[in-house]
Amino acid sequence: MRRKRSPMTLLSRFQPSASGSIIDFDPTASCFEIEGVSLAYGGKPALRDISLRVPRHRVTAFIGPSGCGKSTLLRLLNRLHDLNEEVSHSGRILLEGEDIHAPEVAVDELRRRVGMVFQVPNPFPMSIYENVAFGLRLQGGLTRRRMDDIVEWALQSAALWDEVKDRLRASAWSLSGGQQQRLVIARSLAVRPEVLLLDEPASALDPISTLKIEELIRSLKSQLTLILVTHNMQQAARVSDYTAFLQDGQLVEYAPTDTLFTNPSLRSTENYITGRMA
Amino acid sequence: MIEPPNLASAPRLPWRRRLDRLATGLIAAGGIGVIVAVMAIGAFLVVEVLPALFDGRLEMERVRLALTPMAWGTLKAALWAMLFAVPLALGAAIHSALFMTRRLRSRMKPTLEMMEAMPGVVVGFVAGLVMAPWVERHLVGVLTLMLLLPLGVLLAAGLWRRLPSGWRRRLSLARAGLWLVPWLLLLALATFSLAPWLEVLLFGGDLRVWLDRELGLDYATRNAMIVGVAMGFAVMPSIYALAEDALSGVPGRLGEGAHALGATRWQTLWRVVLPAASPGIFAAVMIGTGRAVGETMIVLMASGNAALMSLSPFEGMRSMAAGIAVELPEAVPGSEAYVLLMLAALLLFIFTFLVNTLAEVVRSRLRRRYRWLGGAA
Amino acid sequence: MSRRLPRTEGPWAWLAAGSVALSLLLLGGLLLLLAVRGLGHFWPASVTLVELEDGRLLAGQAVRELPLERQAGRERLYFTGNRDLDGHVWHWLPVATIVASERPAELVVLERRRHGAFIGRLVAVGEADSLASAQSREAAWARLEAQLAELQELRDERERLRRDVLRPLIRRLDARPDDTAARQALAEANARVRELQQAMGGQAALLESVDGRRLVQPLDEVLRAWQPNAMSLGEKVGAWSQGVWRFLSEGPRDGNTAGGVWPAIFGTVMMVLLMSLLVTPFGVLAAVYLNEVAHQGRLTNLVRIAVRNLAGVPSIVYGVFGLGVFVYGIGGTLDDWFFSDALPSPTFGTGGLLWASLTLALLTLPVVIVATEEGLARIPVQQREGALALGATRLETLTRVVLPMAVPAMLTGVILAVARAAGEVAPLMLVGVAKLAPQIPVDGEFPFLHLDRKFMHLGYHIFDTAFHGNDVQAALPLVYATALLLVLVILVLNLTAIFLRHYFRSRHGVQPRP
Repeated sequence: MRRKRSPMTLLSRFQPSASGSIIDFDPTASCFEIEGVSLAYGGKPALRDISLRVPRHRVTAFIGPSGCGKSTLLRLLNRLHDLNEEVSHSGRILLEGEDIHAPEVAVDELRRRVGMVFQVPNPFPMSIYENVAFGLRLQGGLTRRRMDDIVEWALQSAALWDEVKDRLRASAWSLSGGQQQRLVIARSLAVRPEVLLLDEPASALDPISTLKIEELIRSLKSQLTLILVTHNMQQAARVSDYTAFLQDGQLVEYAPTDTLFTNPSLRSTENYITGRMA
Repeated sequence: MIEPPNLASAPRLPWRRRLDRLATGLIAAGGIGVIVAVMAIGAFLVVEVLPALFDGRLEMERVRLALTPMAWGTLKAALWAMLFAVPLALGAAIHSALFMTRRLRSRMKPTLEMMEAMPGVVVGFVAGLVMAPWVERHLVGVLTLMLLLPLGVLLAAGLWRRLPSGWRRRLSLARAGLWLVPWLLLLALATFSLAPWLEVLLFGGDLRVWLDRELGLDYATRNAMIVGVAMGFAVMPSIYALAEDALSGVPGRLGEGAHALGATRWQTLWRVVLPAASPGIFAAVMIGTGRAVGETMIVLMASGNAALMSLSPFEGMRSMAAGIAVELPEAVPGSEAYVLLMLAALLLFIFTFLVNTLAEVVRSRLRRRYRWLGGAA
Repeated sequence: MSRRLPRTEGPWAWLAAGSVALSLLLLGGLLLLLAVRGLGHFWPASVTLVELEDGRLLAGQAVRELPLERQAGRERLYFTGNRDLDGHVWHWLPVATIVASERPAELVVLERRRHGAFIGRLVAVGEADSLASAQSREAAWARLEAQLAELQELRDERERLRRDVLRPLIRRLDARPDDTAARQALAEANARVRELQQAMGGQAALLESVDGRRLVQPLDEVLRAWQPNAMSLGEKVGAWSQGVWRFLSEGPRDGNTAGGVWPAIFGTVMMVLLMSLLVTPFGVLAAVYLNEVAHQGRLTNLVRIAVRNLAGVPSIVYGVFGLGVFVYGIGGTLDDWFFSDALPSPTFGTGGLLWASLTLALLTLPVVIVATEEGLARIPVQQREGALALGATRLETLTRVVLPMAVPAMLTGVILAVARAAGEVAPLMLVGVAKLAPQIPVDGEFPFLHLDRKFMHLGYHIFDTAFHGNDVQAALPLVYATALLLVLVILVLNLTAIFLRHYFRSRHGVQPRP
């Protein structure tokens, strides 16, 4: 049985609690504010009236059964749905207070600020260096030296530098899957985004690469806000600070990760979590 | 550890977005322009012809007089070409899609694509200047061979059954497309050595004289039969490719289902696979017809260009395409001859466009059907 | 799918196999015919000396043998040359009337600039007005070879002077008529050419046909001489390859019955090059528009179908369009505006290189559009999303990621377009090809590329020679050779396209699995 939650009720969960919870979440420390967002693919609804706030410099995970809309929601955050003409959506999404769908917003700049890593690693058929430098070349005006520096920094931040520093000119497709995914993260980092969206980034990788990616996510928290979509609940539990559980396009529950996993308020959340963990 | 770069100081290129919009506009303009130009062909022809038709410069009577023999010639040439090409192409497609090993099939397709690449001028040259006189001299042999070829293949099949199984495996039916080649050559040699004797026996020594005397048929060196074979050769690869696609796209489950019910191979083919692929085969034949109608050089070089209207395969014809090629450079723009030829071109355009569109519609419907069946289209 | 039906036979299955066999047979037969007759032409054929029953002597190359009409027996066709002596070069001889035939080693064949070939015996070589008869065959032959070699050098020198010295000087003088230094240099060069000319003249050979008639042949008109019956295999192979080379590098002579097809090769290549330059950008542009920019709805699909259908429109219709719109329409207007002083002789208002290239570009546009579209569609959407997710605009995604990945497909499309255009003759008959173009469209005169000139084309050359030549029998071997050349070029192009397609498809398929 599900009780309908209004946005205000959800927000009230995040007042500093009297017991002084470890994670303090000031509403002004939110990066993304998603308000009443709905989306439909050619008439068929995929997201219904979703509202939540994504805290800055934290890892927020979206979990839920397949088809629940978590990837759809993620892609809305960097306006990738613009490519698809059959999509219609309503509601507001604010990035640091600005509506991302406002007509004067430059979409390409938005996408620089909100980077994305996809489920299957998709490096360009270019050298490793060129992959990382791709976004930098778009900005233009950088000297060769500066670009080298930034590429090295990005690869280091993605924990890939040591493995590829001798073969920056090699084709990106010669790397293993886990390395390719870290390369994709590196190239996203190179343009200094504020947010990094990760759509099931480790689901196509082996367990060791998965762990490396999770480590990376944790280490990046200090620089950016990360939003992670995953079907792997252990991963969400390990890595994220906040977790949102979606089902059938609706936000069912949103809470700090510990709370959600140890003491979910709703039966459906509990069913999902225990069902999967059993 | 290098400090994180400060991109705020990097110059932002403000014109990136403007460039994007500009480029989108240019691409749209260019793309639309190109497509319009390509489609302008029909428009141009219509513009040239319709006013003349309506303001009386061109009378229907003249049109009928001038264009009917050419239209007849076009259809006759196409008919003979189809007569030769369709059985050949379908047979090859059936064998290729259903009986051949995959390896052989993957080699066969490009080889037959080579046939398609042969320029019409070369095929026309060989047909008109080499084949035509030779056929005239060996007419009995040629006609006999046409009858004997299928029989010869069946004879080979019969003999094959009597071979020991080791031989049968090496010369399998799957490879028959290859090893029948020397057999056919042998057959041809035998036919041509026997032909003079046959000619004396049946026709009193000279078939052409006999044709003229008994049937009143004139034999022109360059005639519809030659054109048929030559154009059939040129058109056959297109039909083959499309028919083969259609046949191999029929989901295997259909055939297996029939087998499970005890049907023999040929029955399966005839009753299940062919009907399922029939739209695709129909489309293939349509496209082949379109190409046969439009082929210019072969008809120009191998048909004698005589504006006759006769049913005999031994007489020449003049096709619309060939007529245009020969007469248009001489015609004065705006004159009656010019407009007539434009009309002929317009008719060709409409015919081929309709035929191709029909074929494409049929094929897309077939694709949709297969997607529903979950087939390997 | 591999064999999907079990191994039972039926008559129709065999007939189907027979169809395959017949197709292969026809294809192979055609290629073999072209190869044998085409390449065989350059092999130095031996010359037979025949004695007829009425005592006549004839020397020639046996070409064909056919049964006699209405009689028993056969007759043989001999190429005897000597058009200036006999009036004709062909002789049909009933085989029954041939009493003796042999292949004497001393018979020579001379290829001459006028009158074609000479077949007979060499008597003497020397100054035209002092030809002595008392020369041994070997000495005469040696002298002939030496003289011909010298003549060739002089000819080459004269050609070089003309090309590298005279023409530039003339151009300089045209630009500045008062350039005295140039005028002097020109006079000197002209004098040198005259010297060469004089040195070339004067020598002659005394020739005798096998039936005793003599003639004096100026050596500067003799292109080559050889003794076919005396050549070793190695020499024959050498002569064969030289013949092939000359075929590819010389222009036609003697009403297309001798010489080569170089201008036709050049014209074809020129036209195809121009056509590729036109078709590639426009085809790619249209494909990019259809695939990337246009709203993907029913209208776009209809347009796609229409473009594919246009690939099936007969090429002659494109020729008609080209004639009406480009030649008479735009060309006529251009003439009125810019070349009215040359009228009524048309400059652009008649067929030429530009219109032919444009027409063929239009003809092959659907090919390039379809091939490029296929390439673009194969690029996974994840690559595009990856670029966009980094902040690229749509144009940048297109130019930096998508188009580079589609280059192989574009290349395949262009190659297929070129292969198709190289073989199309019908539209060219309307928009620009010439039977014998006096000049090739590229030369040293400004503007160096003459788009208004007519040009020769390999395919048209075949048609014209085979059907409008005077002596089709003599021209036939060259037509075979030209046909073989054309077919080889097209086959190579098609094979390249197929190979490229397979190679890039295997490389660019799905990304490597993690």
